[in-house]
Amino acid sequence: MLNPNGAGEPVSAAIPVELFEPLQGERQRDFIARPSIGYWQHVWLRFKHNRIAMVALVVVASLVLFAVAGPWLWRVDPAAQSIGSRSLGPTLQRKAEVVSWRPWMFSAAAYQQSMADPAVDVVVADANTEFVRLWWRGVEGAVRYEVYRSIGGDLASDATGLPLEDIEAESVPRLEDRLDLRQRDYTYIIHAVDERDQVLQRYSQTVSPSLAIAIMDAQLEGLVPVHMAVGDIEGTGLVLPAHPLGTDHLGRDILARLMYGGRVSLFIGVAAPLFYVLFGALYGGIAGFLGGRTDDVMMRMADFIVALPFLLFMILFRVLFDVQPGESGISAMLVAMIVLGWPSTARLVRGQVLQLKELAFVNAAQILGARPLYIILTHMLPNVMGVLLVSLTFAIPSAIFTEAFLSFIGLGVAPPAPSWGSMCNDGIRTMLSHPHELMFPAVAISLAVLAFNLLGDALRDAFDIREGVTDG
Amino acid sequence: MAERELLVVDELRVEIPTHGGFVRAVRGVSFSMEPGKTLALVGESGCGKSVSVQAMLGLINVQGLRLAGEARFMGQDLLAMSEAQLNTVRGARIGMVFQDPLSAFNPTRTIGEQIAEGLVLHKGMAKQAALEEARRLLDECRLSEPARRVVQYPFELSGGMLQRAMIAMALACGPQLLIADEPTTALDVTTQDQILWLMQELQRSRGMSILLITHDLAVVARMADDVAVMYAGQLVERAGVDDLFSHPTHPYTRALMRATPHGEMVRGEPLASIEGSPPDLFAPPPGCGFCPRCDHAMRICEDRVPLLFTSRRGGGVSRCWMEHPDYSRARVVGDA
Amino acid sequence: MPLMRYISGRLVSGVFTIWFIATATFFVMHWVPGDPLSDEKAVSPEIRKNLEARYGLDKSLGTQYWIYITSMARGDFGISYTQKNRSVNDIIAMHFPVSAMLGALAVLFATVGGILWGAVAARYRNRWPDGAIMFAVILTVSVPSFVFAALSQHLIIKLNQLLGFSLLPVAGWGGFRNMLVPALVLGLGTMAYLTRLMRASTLEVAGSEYIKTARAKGLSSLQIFRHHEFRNAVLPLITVLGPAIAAITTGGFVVELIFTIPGLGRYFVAAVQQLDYTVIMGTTVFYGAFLVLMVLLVDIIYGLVDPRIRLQGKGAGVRA
Repeated sequence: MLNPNGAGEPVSAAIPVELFEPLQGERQRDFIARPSIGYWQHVWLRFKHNRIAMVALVVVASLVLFAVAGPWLWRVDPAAQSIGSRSLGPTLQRKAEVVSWRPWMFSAAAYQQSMADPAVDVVVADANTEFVRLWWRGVEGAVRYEVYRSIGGDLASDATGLPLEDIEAESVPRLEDRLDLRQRDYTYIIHAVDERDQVLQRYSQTVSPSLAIAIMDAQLEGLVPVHMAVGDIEGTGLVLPAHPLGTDHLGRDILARLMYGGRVSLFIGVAAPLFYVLFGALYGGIAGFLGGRTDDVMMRMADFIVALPFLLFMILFRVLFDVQPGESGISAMLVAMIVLGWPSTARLVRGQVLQLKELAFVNAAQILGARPLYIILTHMLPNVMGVLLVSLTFAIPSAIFTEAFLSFIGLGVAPPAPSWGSMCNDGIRTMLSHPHELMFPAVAISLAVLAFNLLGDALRDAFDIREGVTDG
Repeated sequence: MAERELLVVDELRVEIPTHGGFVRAVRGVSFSMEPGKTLALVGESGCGKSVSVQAMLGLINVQGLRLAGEARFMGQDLLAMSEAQLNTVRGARIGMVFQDPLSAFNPTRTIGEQIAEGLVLHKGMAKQAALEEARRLLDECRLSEPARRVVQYPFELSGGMLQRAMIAMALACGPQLLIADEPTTALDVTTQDQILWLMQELQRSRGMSILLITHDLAVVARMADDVAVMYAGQLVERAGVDDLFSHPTHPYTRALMRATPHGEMVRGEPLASIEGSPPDLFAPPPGCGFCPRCDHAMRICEDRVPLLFTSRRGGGVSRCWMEHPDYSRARVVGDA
Repeated sequence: MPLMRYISGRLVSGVFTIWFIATATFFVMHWVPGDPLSDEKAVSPEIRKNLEARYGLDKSLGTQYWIYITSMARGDFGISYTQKNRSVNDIIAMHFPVSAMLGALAVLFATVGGILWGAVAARYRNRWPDGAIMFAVILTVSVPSFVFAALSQHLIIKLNQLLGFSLLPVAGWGGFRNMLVPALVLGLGTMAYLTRLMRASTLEVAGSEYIKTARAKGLSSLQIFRHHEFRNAVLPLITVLGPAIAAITTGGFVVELIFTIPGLGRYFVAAVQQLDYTVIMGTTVFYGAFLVLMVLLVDIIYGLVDPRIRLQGKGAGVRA
């Protein structure tokens, strides 16, 4: 039955006698190949080796830095509106001319002179983003002119839609356009129409307005001193502020709003969980430590809180705090999250404490006469810390979500105070025409939630030191 | 090649990947089994005895597992088989009994269903016939009220009853080899005894071989024909059961025996414990694995792994330098 | 009968919980500074008296609470403050079915999708399908539902433009076509959660001893999956279905708002904005009771499915 293959050693190589000498003295009985490391060190090592965790940590740190330190670097008022730059996409600094609108004073002579060249039909007298002025060669027999404005180039006459303006034929046929002009090419299409609505003549002219800002707006936005005479300012150049992430529908800088909104969102997202995780840990710890009837009653209470419809009660607290429609209910939101959020942590910690109580080292400490406080501090707390840290990390994204959700439906942070949720609420209205207004705050929320979730995952993995090696 | 042996394991190596690298759980284990006999694989937990058997049957479901060596069952190498080929052996020709009967049964299906499963699969039985056969098997395994047990769930049975049911399940398709992995460890003493009786009785009536994995020398003495002692992923001693108990050769085997309570002990006599702990199998020591804990350790033990030498007394082999032919010569020189 | 004992135990605790919700709602609303009628413009003392009498505000706190609880128990939620001729029951009866239908479809999407994706991810553990599914899950969990709602609306518009006809409505309420996208969006978060859970649960089952037993019996991996893994992995999912339904019904606010669906959630938000006290209270208690009922139902289903509860009347923590 026994396989003899392994037995015996080549006799040729005789083994030196001295090798058979017994080992002397005190010997190390354990053969230790790896240095032994402590629990926290172990956790930290595992965490450090998790690449996703490190990336998540960097993202979280950057977001916090962005919100806390950002406003010092980017000194733009998040509430400052700018009529001239509403719903802008991301833009850098731009030079603009300060202009002032007055009624169009023109001379027939100048018109005649510009029409001297027979090749020219349309003349652009002014073209800036405050006003565009054109005149064109009059058409014999026309009673009126239909002027269309297109941003898609020279369109066929059936694709132009409704006319921008319908102008009675005069000696100087002309148009002044002040309707929401931006820095892009516009093609003006002019139809000369007779009394039977027949199109006699069609002109088209492409215009590229230069960037301009009205004196009033410049003064309102503090770009030029208010006391300066209009004549001194008019025609001067001016640098308009950059908007790296664009502006919203009121012309407010989105980057600045994201920073200030981040302060609100992250504050709620971190503060509320911090309080309720701590309270839950205390509550659950006491219930688990005392055990028996106290434990039963305390956990029954926690069950009731869990059964409350969470979001509805979040909103009820708003009513309780007498937050009027349109007001920010940050404190109401905080209190509600704390009051309603603690039971899950309480359950978790209670479970841990109950388990720990059964463990031999705690029993031993009790038998040795250690006081409860000592047992809690030395044995319970270090063992519960992992669970606490993990549940805190997971509570943060859900709090950020809750804030965003409530602000989004208009029952959280209200304008003008920005939060990422309320910015989404603003952005969704212009989603179709200017998607960036929704996208940036949505990305901020998602990034924060994602990073905290990944961080939580990594922490959970790091704290769980059980490894699936089969028993031999 | 027609072999007389039912199972021949040759230089089996198993390395399990973990976060910190590969654990060299089994480091070249060889043994063989004859039909109708019982071989006991003995060692403390973590020594690789379960791992070697489970790896052989492809039961370790770990990605990146490294396997080497051969395990010929009825002439065919189990390690070279595809999963589909293995499935015609597992359950049909090799039955397996696990340590903890409660966790080894699916909690949401009845005992009968779980026994019948193998019969339907390997013998092509109809569900109803298989359930009837399951009842008969439970009866054969001396389980009371077998007809009721068939429709009961695992949690409704005691540990001892479940272990009987598990033996019935392992025997369902009439295997040539029954592998029992610590079959009595999770049971109380009286139940242990009944289960061991049952296994012996079934072995006699069915003529099968049993590969018994255990750490309990009392069980070994009672059940085994041959014994293989494992330590730190290696076989350290192999012998017939009588030889092993009358002349234990390897210091580990001897230490193990001193650490086991036995009939001739005097009241108050302390049990010897083995000082220290087994080596870390991430990085096995260069010499004999038992060297740090051995009372007889020599200089050679620290840096050279001993082979399996034929024991000077008794008929077995032992992985110890003290059994090397040069050892006695050295002793003579040293004593002089 | 262990099962009956289990069910009756759950029923009693359910009734208690509903009572607690109703009481909590009552006192939260009672502590509201000022009184509900202070918003009424230019109310003459007589009219004010009449109104107070009509809403029972002239009685003592104890009496008010008693009237409130007894009428709640009868299923009478009172009359709306802002729409004087509508009872809260009418409002709930009119708007809740819409929310419920949307929610039911969302729960269906979430469970079917979650179980499917989770099982696939677990079966292809650590290979690319697993990676892709888990990446999608973590992304879904991290993006707020209103962003999905907005994006899906955007997509519908683009799709309709591309096709040249309206395949799916962008908003509004009506037939099945109106429900499809909102329900999908509504169920998305829960689907991701269930996918994650199903994967973990399948892996846990796959690592259990009885799966090793099944392998030792010679069952193929597909047979093991069908007969042992799948069923046992789905069981714990049932236990979180109660909270999942809760998340979906309350999450309905946003979807109803964006897709302009006339559900109870949208109505609740409006009621809070208009401070319509009776509607707020009625809806809160109604939702609370509904959720408790759902959790109860899920518990009972779990009891029927799990033999451990069916035969012994006890089981592992059923609520998540």
